[in-house]
This record gives sequence, structure tokens and C-alpha cells, in this order.
Amino acid sequence: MSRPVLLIDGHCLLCNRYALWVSRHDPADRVRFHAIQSSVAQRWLLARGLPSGNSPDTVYLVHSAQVLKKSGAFFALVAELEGPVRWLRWLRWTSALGADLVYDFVAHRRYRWFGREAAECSLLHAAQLGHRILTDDDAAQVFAELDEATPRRGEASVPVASTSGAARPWGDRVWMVLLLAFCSAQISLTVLDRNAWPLSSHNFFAFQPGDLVQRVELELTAADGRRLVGVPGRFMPIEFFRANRIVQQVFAPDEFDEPKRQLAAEALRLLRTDPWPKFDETLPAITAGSGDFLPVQLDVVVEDRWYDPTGRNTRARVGERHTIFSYRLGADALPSPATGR
Amino acid sequence: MIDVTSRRLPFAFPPPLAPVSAGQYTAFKVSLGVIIAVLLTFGPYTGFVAFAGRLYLEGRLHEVVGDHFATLRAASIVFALALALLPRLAVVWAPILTLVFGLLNHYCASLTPTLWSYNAHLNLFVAGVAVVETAARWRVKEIDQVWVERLFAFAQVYVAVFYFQSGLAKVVHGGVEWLTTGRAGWIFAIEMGTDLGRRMAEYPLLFPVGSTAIVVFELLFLPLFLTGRFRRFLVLGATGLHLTIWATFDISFWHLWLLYPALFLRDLLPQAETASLVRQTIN
Repeated sequence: MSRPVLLIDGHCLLCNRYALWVSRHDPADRVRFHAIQSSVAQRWLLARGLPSGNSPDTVYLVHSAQVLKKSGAFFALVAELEGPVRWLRWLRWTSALGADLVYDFVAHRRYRWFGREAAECSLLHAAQLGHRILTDDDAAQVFAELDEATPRRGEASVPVASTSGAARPWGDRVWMVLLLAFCSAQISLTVLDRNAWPLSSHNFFAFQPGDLVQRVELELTAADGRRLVGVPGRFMPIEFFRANRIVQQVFAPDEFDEPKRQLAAEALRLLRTDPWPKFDETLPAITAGSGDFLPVQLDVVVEDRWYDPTGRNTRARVGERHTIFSYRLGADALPSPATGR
Repeated sequence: MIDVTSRRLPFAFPPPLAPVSAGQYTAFKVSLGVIIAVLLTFGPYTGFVAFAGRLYLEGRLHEVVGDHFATLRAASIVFALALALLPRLAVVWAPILTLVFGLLNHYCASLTPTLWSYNAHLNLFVAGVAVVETAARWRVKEIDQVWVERLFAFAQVYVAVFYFQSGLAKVVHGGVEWLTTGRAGWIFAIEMGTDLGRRMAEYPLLFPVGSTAIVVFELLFLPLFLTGRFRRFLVLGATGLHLTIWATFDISFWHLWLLYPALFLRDLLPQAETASLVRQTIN
């Protein structure tokens, strides 16, 4: 295990040139090479849960009971060479800052840019590399020693560990930062009680009601004088909590009248012509199933409700009621005897 | 230098008991597609939303979305169904769905900006699928396990933070009284509750106990989840919580917890599927 072993793509001309370059700067004859495509290497990579296959996206450096890849493998390897190239090892910190992105960029285009040899499992420059190329038996020995030094984990955990943590350390860090930023933003919005879609405060029902609750209700009056009363969610096909808020926004006393009229007219139109069913938090139209009830007037009412502080009485005592807005359909919109609508 | 063989997952939480399998990832995509399609088909995404938007929303984006609301809704339904029926082609459907459903849901949330957007997780998860698929396609035309693991980690952390936020909000904005009195739940049960909820309201002591239990559970969900222990009980407990609230308050949150079987499969059934997605071709 004292010799660094570089697993490279035997089909790749760039990788082969890299191997030659390494051998030229390794007069001590320490580094050995082996093709990733060999059956021995493939079996070992699969067992380790590391990306394998005929077009590997990285070299691997097996050295000192470690397996390194991409830019990490490069910087570790140059540290084993001789001459000025060794100084490149001082750039290894760039692995954490994006050197792997550059590596990936080149690696994904290496066949296009530098060419590819179709021969199976070949190290092209075998003649020049000579004894530096490990035989399958020697490679198997190296892998066995490494396995002994760093026992594999359980089968289930291998693929996960091999991919996320190991393959993209730089990406992992960015991803971690983004994840933490996202969580921090979400929780900050909760504390600030604000929303910034798609981030959300998730402040569901986070309020403490007193004994007196002011409740907005809508009253519907039919042509024959009958009435239906309900919460805003029964008057518009939208989630009940949104309906409450829309009514509060539009029918606020200091708002303009025209939007109020428009909303009331639209609610009446839908209730008359297109009553909707219940779906989850969308309450059913108040006119759904009410037979011949044809609304002609909509009133918005604010009502005081007093709740028993002891909780024994579940019926709220109704206090003052204020009608804050009324809207009645014009004569031309009233139901005709012929159509009933 | 990174040691490939010894390095652990850098996720914010311990690694799951098993890697995300191809089947689990597919189930997640199908669940997402079905839930979005059902939500948009039967949910509150009607012309009324566009009407209300025109009433008081301003800005060019709102004008554009409001004018094309029905088209966006129809397109969202089509692409959600495509995601559910042809999940292997998610690289086509997911990015488009991210865009059209994103515009649609953003517009709906804009109607009530002071209220929580309770189903934005669907947008985020679809966007996550789009990133996974396009990243994998751009790189090597194969699904990359690391992206899938990140997506699932993000989605799981989102759920854990979701409960934490919900519990935190009640304490911060409702005060300790929210727990000790159970008043919010009691009044809601009276006014908007189901028959069961109204019957429960006759036993007011249930509400402070229930409120406290809910907030404690919500606050503990995140830290316990991060420890990697009790995950099965947490997920089952959360589902039980939603079912209880559905039975009493008629609030189901179905579009969240129906994702749990696919999202937490390896925590719920760690022995069910352990095959790795690594190098699995999607074509």
C-alpha cells in the first residue's frame, strides 16, 4: 500500500497522456496505474458503491488507505511527484472552492476534445508505462489491502455514502449552506409573521382569541325574503381562511366601494348560477342543495360573539351586529319567471 | 482532500437506513403529479381566483397571470398528470410544471399575502424533481444518486421544519396561553368543527391538553428527526395528527401527508427497497 495507484479511464486519450505526464515526473518509480474498466476495478468500485462503468467521470487515487477522486486525487498525486510540479499541491484547497467543477467540465468533454480509444480496458501507452501498469492480480492485491485497512460498511449504506458525500464535496458544501439558509429563512418568517412565497411562515392558527371575537358573516336574501347566513367561505369558491381574509381586505370600511360592489356581484352570480361543492378547505356554496333559493341581496355583517370563559357553554352569546355593506341586484338581474335564474 | 471511502453523508441529519431506490423516487414523482392534478382539478383554483386578483392585485405579473389563469391551470393539470403517468419523462414535465404551477400558485398566494402558503411545498418539490432530472440529463444522461438523495433530504427537512415552524408560531404569536387554555382550538371546534369536534368542545379540558401535546410534538419533530431516531414514529405520529385534525376540525392537509409513504419509505420500511439508483439509466 505504499505506492500510490491511479485508476484511470483506459479509453481516454487525455487520461493516458496524464498517466505519461505523471510517469515523467515520478523518477522514483512509485506511482502505478490501472484501468478503471478492468473487471477487477469494476468489481471493487461496485462493492464500494463508487461510480463505475465504461465512461467514469473521475480518476481514483488509492493511497495511504484512502481513495481520492477528481481534483482531490490530482493534488494528492502531485504531492508524490518530484520537481516543481509538487508545488501544485499547495492548490489543493481549491478542491473545496470549485476545482471539481472545472474537473467535471473537462471530464465530460474529454472524449470530444481529446479523443477516445475503443479498445476494451486498454491503457494505450502500455509500452511507455511498462511495469507501472498493474496487472489484474496486483490490482486485486491493492484493493484487498485497502479493504482490509478500511472495511466496507453495510451494503445498504454503501451507495449513499459513495455518492453524496464523496463524489462532490464542493457541491455538498454549497448544498448544505443553501439548505441551512432555506431553513433559517423559513423559521425567520415564522418569527416575523411574514410570508415570501414560496417561503412560508406556516403560522397556522397562531393567535390567542379572547372571550370576545368579532366575526364577519355574510347574509344572503332571496327574492321571497328568505335568508341564509354563513361564514365568508360559504360565499366564494376558495379556502375558508382565504375567504375570510379577502372579505376583511375588500370590505374594510376605509376601502373603495367599487371593489366591494364587484365582489358582492360576483359572489351572487356564482351562488345563483354555479354553486360549488365542498373540497377540503373550500366550503360548499351556501346555496348548494338549497333548492329554489335565488339570492338577490348580499349583506356583510360584523358580529360580536362572546364565548364562555369557563368553556362549559359551547354556545356563543351574540352581541352587537353591524351591517357594513349591502348589495342588491338590479332589476335587470333579478330572476325571470321563465328561467328561474 | 476527501477520502471517498470513509466520508459520511454531509446532510444535516444522519444518513437514512437505506438509499433512495428507483421505485421510491418514481413513487415520489407519481405522488406529486397525482396530488397536484387533484388539487388543481377539484380545489379552489377557479375563475374566482382570477376575478379576485383583478380586483386588487397590481403589477404586470399579476395582470399576465390573471389574464391567463385558466390556461395556466389547464397546463398545470396536464403536466401534473403527465408527471404521474409518465414519471420516466420527468425531465420534460417537471421543469414546465415548475414554471406553470409556480406562476399559478404564486398568484393564488398573492391574494392573501399575510397568510401562509400552505401548499407551496408542492412547488418546491416539483422544482426539486426538475433540478434532479435536468442535472442528471445534462451530466451523463443517468440519474445521479447524489441529486436524488439531496432532493429527498431537502423534502424531509422541509417537512420537519414545517412542523417546527407551526409549533414555534403558536408559542411566539399565541403565547403560552395558546397551550394552557386551548382556547383557539376550542372556539374553532365550536364554529368550524365537525360533529366530532363540536362534541369534543363539550369537554373543554381536552383542548389545553391536546393543544400542548400538538405543540410539543411539532417542536420536537425537527430535533428528533435530526437525531435519526424515532423517525418511523414521528412520521406515523404526524400522519395521525393530521387525521385527528381532519376528523375534528375538517382540515385535512392531505396534499402534504399523502406524500409521506413515498418520501419516508426508507424510514417507514427500511427493508423494503435497498437497491441503489446509482447509474440507473432513465431511458
